[in-house]
Amino acid sequence: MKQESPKTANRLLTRFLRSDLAEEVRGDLEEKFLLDLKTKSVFKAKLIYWYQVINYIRPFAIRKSRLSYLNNYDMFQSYFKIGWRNLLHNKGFSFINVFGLAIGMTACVLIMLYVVDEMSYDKHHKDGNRIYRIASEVKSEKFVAASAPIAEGLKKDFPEVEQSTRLLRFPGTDKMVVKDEATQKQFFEMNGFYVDSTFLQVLTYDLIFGDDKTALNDPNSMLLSEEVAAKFFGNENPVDHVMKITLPFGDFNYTVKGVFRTNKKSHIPANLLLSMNNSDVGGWVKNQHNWATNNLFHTYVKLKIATDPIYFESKLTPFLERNGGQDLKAAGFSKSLFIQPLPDIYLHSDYGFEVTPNGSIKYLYIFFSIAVFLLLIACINFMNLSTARSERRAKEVGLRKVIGAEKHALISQFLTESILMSVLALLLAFLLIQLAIPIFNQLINKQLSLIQLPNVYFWLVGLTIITGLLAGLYPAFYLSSFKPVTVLKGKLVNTFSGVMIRKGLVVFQFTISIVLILGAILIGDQMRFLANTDLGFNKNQKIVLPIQTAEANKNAEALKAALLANSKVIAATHASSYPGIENINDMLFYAEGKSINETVDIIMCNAGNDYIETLDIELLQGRGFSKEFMGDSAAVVLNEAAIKQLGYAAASAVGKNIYFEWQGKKVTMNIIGVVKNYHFQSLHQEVKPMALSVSPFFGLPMSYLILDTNTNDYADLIALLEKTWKKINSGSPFAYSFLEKDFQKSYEKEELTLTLIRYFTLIAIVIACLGLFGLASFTAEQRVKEIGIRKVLGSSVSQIVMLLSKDFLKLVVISFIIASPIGYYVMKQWLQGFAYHVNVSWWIFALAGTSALLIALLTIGFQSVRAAFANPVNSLKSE
Amino acid sequence: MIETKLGEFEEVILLLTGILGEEAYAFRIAEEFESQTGRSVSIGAVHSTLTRLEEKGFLKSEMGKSTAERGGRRKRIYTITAYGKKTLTAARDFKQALWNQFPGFAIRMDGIIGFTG
Repeated sequence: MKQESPKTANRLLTRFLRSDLAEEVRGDLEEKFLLDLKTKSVFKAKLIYWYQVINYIRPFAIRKSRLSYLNNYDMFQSYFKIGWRNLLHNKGFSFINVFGLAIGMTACVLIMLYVVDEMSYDKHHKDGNRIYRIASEVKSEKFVAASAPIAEGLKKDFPEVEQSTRLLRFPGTDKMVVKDEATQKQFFEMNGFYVDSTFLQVLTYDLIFGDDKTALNDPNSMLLSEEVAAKFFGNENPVDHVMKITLPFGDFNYTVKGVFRTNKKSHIPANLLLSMNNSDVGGWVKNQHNWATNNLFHTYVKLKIATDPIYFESKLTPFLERNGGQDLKAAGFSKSLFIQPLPDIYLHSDYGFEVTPNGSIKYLYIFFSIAVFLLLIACINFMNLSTARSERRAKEVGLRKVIGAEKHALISQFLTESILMSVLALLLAFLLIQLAIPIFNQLINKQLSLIQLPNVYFWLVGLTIITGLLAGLYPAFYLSSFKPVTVLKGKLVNTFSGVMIRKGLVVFQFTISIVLILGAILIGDQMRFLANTDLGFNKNQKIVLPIQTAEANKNAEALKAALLANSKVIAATHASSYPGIENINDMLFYAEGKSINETVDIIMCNAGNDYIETLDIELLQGRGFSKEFMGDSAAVVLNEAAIKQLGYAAASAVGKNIYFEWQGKKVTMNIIGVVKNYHFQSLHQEVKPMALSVSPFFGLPMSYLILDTNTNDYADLIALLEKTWKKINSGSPFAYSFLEKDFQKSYEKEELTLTLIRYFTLIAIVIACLGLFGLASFTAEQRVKEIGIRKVLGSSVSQIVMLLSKDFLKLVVISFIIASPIGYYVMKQWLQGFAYHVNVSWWIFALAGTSALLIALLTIGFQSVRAAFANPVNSLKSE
Repeated sequence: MIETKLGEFEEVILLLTGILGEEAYAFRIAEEFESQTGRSVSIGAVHSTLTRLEEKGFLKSEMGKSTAERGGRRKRIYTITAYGKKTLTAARDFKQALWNQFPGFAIRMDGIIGFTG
């Protein structure tokens, strides 16, 4: 039987071998094969044949093809040149493309900067994936702190707990005065937290000065953030320096034991870390043995390697029952514990008593989708315009094919062009980003810069290439698939599928734009609603002075009297809290005839005698507090929500008693008044049961003096207030805030979203309109002969404008129909974050639809009208 | 230094081409190389060298006759040029000259011979 040389090997050989060598090489190999067959097995001979073929893959023998380096380079040079010429030849189109892409990229980069920044929180802690925060849940209210003994108990009971630690944000000390005796410098510092000595063993802080192993070992130790340290000491080492901290209950000395960097973001934005073993709150902390109440301690645990966190979590509530069963029974409620992974806290945790308000993953998703969609819209623009323009280039493609261009060459030509375009856009985008970052930072109140993100350049270049590829892909394949015969023969270019895809892309663009418009209108509407809703008290012209030093506390009444002497101050009151700020002080009460197992959680506010008058709260029944009544220390004023939940009726509640139990004793409070529900928290939440009390029992410090003022000249009034303050409290710094602004702070996230959405909607519309404008001018140009003939036959201008606009407007209407349900769903979702909100009403859709239509009409209209007014002679004479 | 133009492998191939005369084509040279040196070589490697030698002007080639075992395909017969011959001779003379300068084995190995003998 005659054996033949392996076919595949031969196919391979002919594929790469220079054709002028084919004959001799095939001959030589064949001879070799036949010779081998005589002495060796068929298999071996074939194997040798393969070996010989592969050994022919040498530079001298390989076909000189387009794929070789030099030639390729030349082709790319040519693509580049042609691309550049095309760009210059169609300046209008090029501008729309490059500008649209650049805006899209700029917006995308800015948003991504924000998103990446938000995602960078708490990613720097050593073994961060083994660190968890212990949070509590009582009566389906979740809060992110636990009672004092839990941290130590966890360490004792669970071998898998490597270390546990606590952080205490002591209520009423949100502003601490820090004073350096030597230099007499003093500042109000926010975010001072008390921490256990084990704090640095669990959470990672990078110390510039001091030793993180020992820094918190001694009582009354303190760590400063680099900013605070710089304010007092410049660049000098402040370790072992003694500083004075002024709190409402006195002045206390702390020794600086270290300075930590703040370059890494954390959900704990500490400026001061104070040792919990100290002379101020230290004594109180040491007496906290109750497992049920005072859930004030942010508790963190580090688990050992290979601990299953879910299993660990499941053991927590039994652990609490085991240790604190007695306490829980006495308190009359049950509590469960759950864990929060440290890296997830900032974006995912939004419960009670956060260390500071966190970010929100929900908004991050919104922003991220906007970024992606903006980039997508810009890419779509490019695709749309490129395909639309394809008729002009169709002849070029046809000719190139006839001359011998292969499909892949054409594809790389068009991809080169689109990447060239996107690189130009990138350069423009760089410029725009540099210009926009300061403005953007102002909007979002952050300090972002491109350098902050180490990989940003890698990212941007990647983004550019992806954008270029994405934008060029469709035109590249679409154009290169033209059949030269059809293209060169005549006009047939706009295939049905091409038109459909282009229309589909326009619809997609406008759908996104309309959804964004809907969102912007709705959020605006909701914000207006929030601003205009009657809160049940008067937030206007209220100035709040923090009373947070021992001196100011001592002189509180004198200050109030002195300020009231000013005719512009109408009323004044001291209080532990005021509407708009966090109030975590609560007590479980039960009504007459009920027991401790039927309690209502009521938020407590320690108020001065004039609280109700100063804030203009409506008193429904009974009376407020007054100097005339001496027995008020056991009296409460309740809001309607509390009355209702206790089971009383507002009309008959005055005079009735409510009870709570404290350390085994039953305490009686008497209801002296009922106030109408007022929003002491933001409209995100329902009005909760609340009580006003002057009882010293709920001993929260009266940290604020609230003034009701009447003036047009705030600068003047505040100067006066400061003068009075300095006279009375010479040793304490003066600070103030407006109640209205503090209340508005609850809506910071929403306001930020509104601003961003407004800007990005605008950008989306601009990009979409640029695209539409390009397409419309293209269509007008394409149909110029048709228009000429129609005009000659008697069409009016308006008919022609209609003819040209109709197609596009139809697309906008379709987009609106698609966008409406999407928008409706998104809006509904967003509104669920508010207990009080507007309804999604029809006018929002009408407004969004009409504006989209109008914008589109304006965009197309210019082109249509110009085409319609053109003299038909000009368009028809040439043929 | 004309010699540097010729590598060891090239020199052998050139010599073999001269030896084989009318039968000097890639496959045959490769076979001859294997049988003379005992080293295996691929036809591609030989062919590549032949092409290079031709480019340098040491060889010239033309298509020869076809034979049945090659499926009727012709072979490329290489012949050595005058320049090639001159280069070969020069290479040999150069080496010879070097050998002449090489210290004699006898002197260095003396002691060893004495020791073993």
